[in-house]
Amino acid sequence: MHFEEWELLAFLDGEVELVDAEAIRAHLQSCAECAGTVKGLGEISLLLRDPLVHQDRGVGFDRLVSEFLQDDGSADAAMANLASRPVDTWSSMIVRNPAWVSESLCRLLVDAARSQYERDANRALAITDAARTVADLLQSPQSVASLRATVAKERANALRLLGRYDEALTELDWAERFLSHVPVSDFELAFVNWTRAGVLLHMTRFAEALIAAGDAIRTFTDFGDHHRAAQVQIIEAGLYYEQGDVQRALERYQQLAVHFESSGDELTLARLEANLAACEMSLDDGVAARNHAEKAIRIFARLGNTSEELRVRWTLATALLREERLEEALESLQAVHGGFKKIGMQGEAAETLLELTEIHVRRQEWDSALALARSAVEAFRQMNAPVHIADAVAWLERAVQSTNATGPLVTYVLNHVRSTTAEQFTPPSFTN
Amino acid sequence: MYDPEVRVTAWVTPRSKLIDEYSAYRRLLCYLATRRFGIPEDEAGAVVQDVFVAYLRNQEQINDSKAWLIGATCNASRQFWRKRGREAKALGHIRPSAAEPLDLVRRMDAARALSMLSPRCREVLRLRFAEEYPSATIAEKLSTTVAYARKLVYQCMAATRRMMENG
Repeated sequence: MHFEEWELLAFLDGEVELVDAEAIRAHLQSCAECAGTVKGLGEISLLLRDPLVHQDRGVGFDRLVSEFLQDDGSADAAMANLASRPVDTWSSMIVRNPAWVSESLCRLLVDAARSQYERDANRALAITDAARTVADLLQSPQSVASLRATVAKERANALRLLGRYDEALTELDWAERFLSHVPVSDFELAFVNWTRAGVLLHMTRFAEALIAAGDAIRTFTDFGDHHRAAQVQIIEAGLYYEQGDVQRALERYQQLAVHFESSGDELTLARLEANLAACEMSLDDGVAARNHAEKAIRIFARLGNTSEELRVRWTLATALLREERLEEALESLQAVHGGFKKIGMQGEAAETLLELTEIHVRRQEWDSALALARSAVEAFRQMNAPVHIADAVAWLERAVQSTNATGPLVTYVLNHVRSTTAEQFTPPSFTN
Repeated sequence: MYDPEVRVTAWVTPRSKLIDEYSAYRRLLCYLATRRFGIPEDEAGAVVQDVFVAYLRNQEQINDSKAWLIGATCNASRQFWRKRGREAKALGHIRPSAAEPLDLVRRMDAARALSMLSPRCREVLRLRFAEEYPSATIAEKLSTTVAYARKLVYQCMAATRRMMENG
C-alpha cells in the first residue's frame, strides 16, 4: 500500500487535519518509493515558490505568432500551383501573383530545395531562385533579411554539390551580410559556418575550414544542439585527415561513432565507419579497416543507400590495389564499376575504368588495358568532362597504346582527374 | 481519483505551443538576461522577444527548446552589450554561475508543467505559492471549502510533478 501524492504533500505541509501524520511517518521509514516521492514533491514545493515559474502572458506575442502562422494554408495552395509548372517559370508566376507572397511560401520553397540536393542539385538551385523572389517581395525588412540569408545558405549548399565552390562562398558571404541585420542570428550563422567549412574542405582551404567548423561547433554547443555539433565535428575530423593528422582524425571519428551509435542516426554512423576505414587504411591497419568498411557496407545496404555502399566497396577495392592484391582488386573494381553504371553515377564509373586500366597495365596485359583506356576516354567525353581532364585521359590512352604506361603513371593521371583545381594537364617527368 | 479541475493538457497546435512556451519561459529568460548579463530590466523584455522571434523562425530546426532558448538568450544578451560597446563590462564583472543553467532548466521544466495544467489549477498554485495566501483565503477566492481548497492545492502540485517527470 502506498499513500497518494496529495496525502504526502499534506503531510509535508503539516496538515494534520487532512491526513494521518503518524501513519505516513511510519510508512516512510520502510517505503523507498514514497520516500522518493516526498523528496520530489519537496523540490516542486520550492520551485513553485519562485514567482518566475508562474505564467506571464506576454503582450503582443500572440499577435506575432498569429501573423507568422496565418499564411500556412495559402502557401500550401500556392506551392501546389507552382509544382504543376516547370521550375524555371516559378519566379515569374510568383511576380504575377503577389497574393502568394508570404514567409510560409518562402519556407516551403526552401524545404523543397533541400529535398532535391542529393537527387538533382541543379533543380534545387532553380527552386532557390523562386524562394529568393518571394523573399525579395516580403514587406518586413527583418523577414527579408532572415529569409534572404536562409535562401543564400541553401544556394551555397546546392552550389557545393555542383562543385561550384567559389559561387558557394559568395552566397555564404551574402548570408552573413543578411544575418547581420537580424537581431538574434547566431544559430542561423552556425549553419552558414557549417556549410562554409564543407565548401572550404572541398577547396582544400583547410585552415579557414577549421575556423568555420570550430565556430559552428561552439555555437551549436551553446544552443544545446549537441547532435549538430557532433555532425560538424565530422567535418573537423575530415580536415585533420586531409592535413595528414590521420591519428587525430581516427580518434575523433571513434569518439563520434560512440555518439552516433547511441543516437540511432544510422546513416551518419555508416559514414563514420567508412571514414574510420579510410583512416585505418592510411595507418596500414588493413584488418581494422576492412571490419569498419564491412560494417559501413552492411548499414548502407540495410538503408538502401546504394551509392554510399558502392563508394565504400570502391575504397576497399582501391586498398586491395595499393596492397598489390591485383586479382581481388580486379574482381571488386569490376563489380563496383558495374554498380556505378547501373545507378547512373557516370563520373565514379569513369574513374573506376582508370583503376581497372591500372591493374592491366601493372600486369602488362596491354590489349585489355587499351580497351579500358579507350572506354575511359569515351566515358569522360560523354560526360562533357573539362578539357584538362579529357587531355589527361587521352594522353593515358596513347601511353597505353605505345605500351609506355606504368602503374604510377596511371595513378598520376587519376590524381589529376580527381584534383579540385582545373590546371592544364602536364605529363609526368618520370615517364621518360 | 483526481479532481477534473486538475486536468492536464498537451501543447497540441503549433500556435498554442508557441504562445504557451512564451508565457511559460518569458519571465525566466528575462531573469537570465538581467541577472547573468546585467541587461536593464526595462530592456530585457525586448531582448527575450527577439529571442522568441528567432525561435519562431527556426522552430523546425530546434531539437531541445529549453537549451536553445537559454543559449539564444545568452547570445542575445552578449550581442546587446556588444552593440553598446560595453562587452568588457558585461562579460567582466558579471560572472556566470556554473550552477545557474541547470537550476534554470529545472525552473523551465516547472514553468512548462504549469502551463499544461488547467487555468484553475494554475491559479490555485499561484495563489498558494507566488502570493502565499493561506488556505482560507484561497477557499474564499475559489468559493469553496477550506478542506477542498487544500486538497486542490495538493492535487495540482502532484499533477505538476507528474508533468515534470514525464517531460
